[in-house]
Amino acid sequence: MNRKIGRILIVLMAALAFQATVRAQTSPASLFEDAAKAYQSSQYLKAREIYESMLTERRGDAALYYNLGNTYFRLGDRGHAILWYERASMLEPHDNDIQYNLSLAKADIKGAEEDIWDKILAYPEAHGLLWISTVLLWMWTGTLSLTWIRPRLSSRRFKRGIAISFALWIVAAGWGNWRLWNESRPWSIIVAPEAQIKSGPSDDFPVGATAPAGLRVLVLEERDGWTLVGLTNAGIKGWVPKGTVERLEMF
Amino acid sequence: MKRFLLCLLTAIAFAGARPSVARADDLSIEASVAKSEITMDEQLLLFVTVKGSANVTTPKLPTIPNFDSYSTGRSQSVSIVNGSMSSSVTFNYVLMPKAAGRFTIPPIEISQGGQTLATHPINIEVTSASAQPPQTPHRPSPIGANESIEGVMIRAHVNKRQVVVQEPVILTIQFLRRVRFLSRPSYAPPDTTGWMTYDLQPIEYTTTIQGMGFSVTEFKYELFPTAPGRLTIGPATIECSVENFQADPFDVFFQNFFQSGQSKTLKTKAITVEVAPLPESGKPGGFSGSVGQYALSANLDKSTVKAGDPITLTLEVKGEGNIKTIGEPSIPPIPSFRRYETISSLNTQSQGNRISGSKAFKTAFVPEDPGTFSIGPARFDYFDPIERRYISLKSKTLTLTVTPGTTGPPVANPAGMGSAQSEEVHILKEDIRYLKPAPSPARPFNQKLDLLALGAFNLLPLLLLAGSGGFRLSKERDLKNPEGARSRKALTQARERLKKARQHLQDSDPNLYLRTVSSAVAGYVADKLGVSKTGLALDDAARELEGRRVDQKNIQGLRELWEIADRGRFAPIAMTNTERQALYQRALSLITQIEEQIR
Repeated sequence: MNRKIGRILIVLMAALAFQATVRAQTSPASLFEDAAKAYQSSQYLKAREIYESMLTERRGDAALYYNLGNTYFRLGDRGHAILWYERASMLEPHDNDIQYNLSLAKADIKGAEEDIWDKILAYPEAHGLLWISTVLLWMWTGTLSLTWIRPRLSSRRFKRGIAISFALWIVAAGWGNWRLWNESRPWSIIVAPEAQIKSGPSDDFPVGATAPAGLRVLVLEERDGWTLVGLTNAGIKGWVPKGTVERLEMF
Repeated sequence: MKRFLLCLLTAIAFAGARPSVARADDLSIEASVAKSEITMDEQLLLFVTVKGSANVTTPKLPTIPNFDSYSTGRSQSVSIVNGSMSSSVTFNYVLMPKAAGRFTIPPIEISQGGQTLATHPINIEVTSASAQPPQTPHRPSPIGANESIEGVMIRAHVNKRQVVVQEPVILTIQFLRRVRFLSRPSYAPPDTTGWMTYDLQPIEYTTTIQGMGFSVTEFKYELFPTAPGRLTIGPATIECSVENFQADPFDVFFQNFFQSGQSKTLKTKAITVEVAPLPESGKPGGFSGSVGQYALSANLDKSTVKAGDPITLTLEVKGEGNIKTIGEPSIPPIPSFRRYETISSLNTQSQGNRISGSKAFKTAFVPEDPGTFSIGPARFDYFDPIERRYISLKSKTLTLTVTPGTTGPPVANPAGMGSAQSEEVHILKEDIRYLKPAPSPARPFNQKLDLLALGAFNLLPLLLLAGSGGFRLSKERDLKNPEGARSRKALTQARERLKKARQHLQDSDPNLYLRTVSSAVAGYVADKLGVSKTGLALDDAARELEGRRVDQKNIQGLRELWEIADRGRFAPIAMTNTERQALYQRALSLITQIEEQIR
């Protein structure tokens, strides 16, 4: 009896040890290491395969998206490289490496240039701005309420503070809501080597424009295997076959 | 020697009994020309002689319109007669006409010892060269039969008068002389504005013209017109001082002491060349303006390279023509290769009458991916001025094998730009940054939870603001209508007073309880009616309440309550605790009912 229990225990322990080993081999950290080894030895396809195998479980992992962008860049697929860098940037907008690689990948794309105002407007995160606007809201409403309840406290300093915090609140709330709205738009990236933009959702329509891989576009409509995209900088919209562009927001 | 003689003569003058000092009164100035009529091809000799002073200053030669002027030196003679010394200095100038017509040499002034003297104006007539029989044909030699032969001559000619843009023109300047130079001749090359000029090797030889032997120096230039139109090659100039064979032997004797020979300024004639534009028909799309006869070659410094290592592609254009203006040959783009800036190098040499050479374009590439790649063919388009047509050259296609690279030190400066020793930062190759070593915490793309919290945090201060606003409005309304506020708050006030009365329920003095209840009821009625509680009579109150549509039953109840309370206030009455409680409830119920009915 005792011998039987001992055997069962040994089998159970062996099973646990095997499971732990398998788990260690497939842990995100070890997969990252495997992919890095493949990347270092110029086996970019293998590295990409490993990173893509982690996407389902590691969604929202900016480092994973960044590394995947690097493998696509090395494979010469600029469209997908920019797509993954942009996704990483959405999660970690102030990560220096992500921004550097993204700007390098976009360097040769005409029409993707951002002017200084675009950069300034896009710098603060929407949530940060909205939290700042909340604090400012508390400041001016609290001060105003106090002066309403206790009119004796009302002074020029109070009124100036209310006016300043109110003005800043308007700016922060407007800016934050604009950022939130802009982020929520269906932004997409052209992942095909060159997108041929047609005037209608069919091969029968003529090509009105071409756009390079990696260009950020807006998806306006999807119909019968075709996607209506808008090129905001160029003021152009037209149809491309489905799969030419990929949405930035994944989930 | 001349200076020595001058010093000697001066010493003799001072050593004499009394040396004569030239006075300002003795000063005179005189101007003369060799000819009063000249052609455009000739030069005019102007002599300005100043007499009477041992030490004269140089006269101011004014600007002479329509002439270029050069000084060719001065000659001086000194005479001593009876111990008195007089001096004569002649200043020599060469005038070259710039236009035909009648011109005047303005007065030439000299100032000395506070005295200013001037010459008389001299009239000169310049006739155009075409009016005269041609003197110099456009050929180097032999000299034309009717051309005057002089001891020193300069000639210029070109091999073509009609060319296309960038087609070469050979300009030859011949300097012929058969006399001895007393000083080194000064040569000024022609003005070639509008041309790109290459110096060819000068040559020297001897020739015989009309039986006279001449030494010849040829200066040669290859000129490339840079734009269509009528382009001019300006005159070349030689200034020299030569022996004067035609002078009197007696004068020659003195010239050996006092002069440096005859100064000459020789100029060639300006030459005009018609430059036509390059033909438009057949012009290739990649034509960048190269004209000449060329060959194109291409080679790579390596045939096999690791990914990430640089290679250098050299495209060389070789031949005859304006080598400096050769444009870069075009090469098809190579996918997955990073291209760096092209650096060109020039090599020119003169062979006979032509400039030849090569221009090499070195471009560094860095292949990023392994594989076998074809580079080229490079293409170069040029215009051949001999065949009068455009020619397109193509180089051979080069093959490059790229093996997988290894990570290592940064790529070396591929094009040789900058220096490793430089103290500045040189970006050699921009590349993406390396992988992130570990996963990062996952974040959702859209943070809806945060937004909910944000919404709540934004709603609270707004509610606070609404509340405080309502409070403020209420306060202001009360201030504007105090009677209305009193009426509105009557019930609350009455309830508070009744609460105080309850505190006296257990009090040993029952009248205190009854007084408090009476005060609460009377206070309520007074607040509702907007009158003073003091002196409020029950009948007046009942009448007023009746007028405010209060039920008779409640008015009657008020009367009973009021009387009980009044009785208790003025005479002690015995009430059990239960009765007191009932009285309290009755009062509370009564004022609540009146509150509902009263208008």
